[in-house]
Amino acid sequence: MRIMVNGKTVELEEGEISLSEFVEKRALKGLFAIEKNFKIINKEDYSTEMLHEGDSLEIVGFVGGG
Amino acid sequence: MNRYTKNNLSKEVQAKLLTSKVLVCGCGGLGSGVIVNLAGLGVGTLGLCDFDRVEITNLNRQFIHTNANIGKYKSESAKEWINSYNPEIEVITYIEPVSEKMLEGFDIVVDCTDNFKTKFQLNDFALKMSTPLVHAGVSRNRGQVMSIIPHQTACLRCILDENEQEESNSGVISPTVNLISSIESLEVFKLITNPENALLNKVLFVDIKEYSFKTISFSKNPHCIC
Repeated sequence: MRIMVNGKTVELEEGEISLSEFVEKRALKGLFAIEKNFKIINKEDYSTEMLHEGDSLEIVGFVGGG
Repeated sequence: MNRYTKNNLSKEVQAKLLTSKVLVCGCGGLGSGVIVNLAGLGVGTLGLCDFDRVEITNLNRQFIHTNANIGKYKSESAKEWINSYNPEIEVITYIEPVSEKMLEGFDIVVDCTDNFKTKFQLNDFALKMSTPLVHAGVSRNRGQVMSIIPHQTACLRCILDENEQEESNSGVISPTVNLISSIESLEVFKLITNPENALLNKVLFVDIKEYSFKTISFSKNPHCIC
């Protein structure tokens, strides 16, 4: 299954997975937010939010330096 | 007023800037740029909060501090720069950690701090005192900026979980921190003059590696304390 992640095509061999599984597999850490198909997904919904063919994700990380 | 002629702003807008009071929390990388920009815009009163001292490792990017001021408190060093640039700007310095009470009397507070623990604290103080807040962070090749109008627009806690571990801040080059501090200064300008055009309910993410400027919309989280 193919999805777009930050404008690049990514092949997900696992097929349809939840957003929380995606985050775990990609070892995303730190302060970040994910927009799926132009809608921000609340962290508490990651486990029920499924990824489908053609979905587009924007992953944005927050940095704390000053 | 001649000093501000080239700002090319109406008399009313310039007068609004001259009577504005802005508290800058952190006089380091972001703070140095914000202080310079707000002084240039003509903000009449600047509060400067920082209890760190100037170190030689700051001087690659914190251009209001100089070799001669190494060892001085950053807020005092920043005040010296402002006085030399324009003695008509009223400056209030705080050599202590930011507190809720400190926000009293200021129209806007600007987050130029260097860690998320303080950024969340500042977010909470701004909510309690109903003081509009401009948030920013910068590290390596990335940065983000957003504005918050307490109780009306999404706050930092609507978007982020304080318990998540932040990435380590591993330094930044001056063009990057100055770019982010310029956008942060523009947000202050917009909040004073035309708030509807500010980054409200949205965050601007900048990645200078690919010259990426991405604005992501957020909404107030109904479960948030704000």
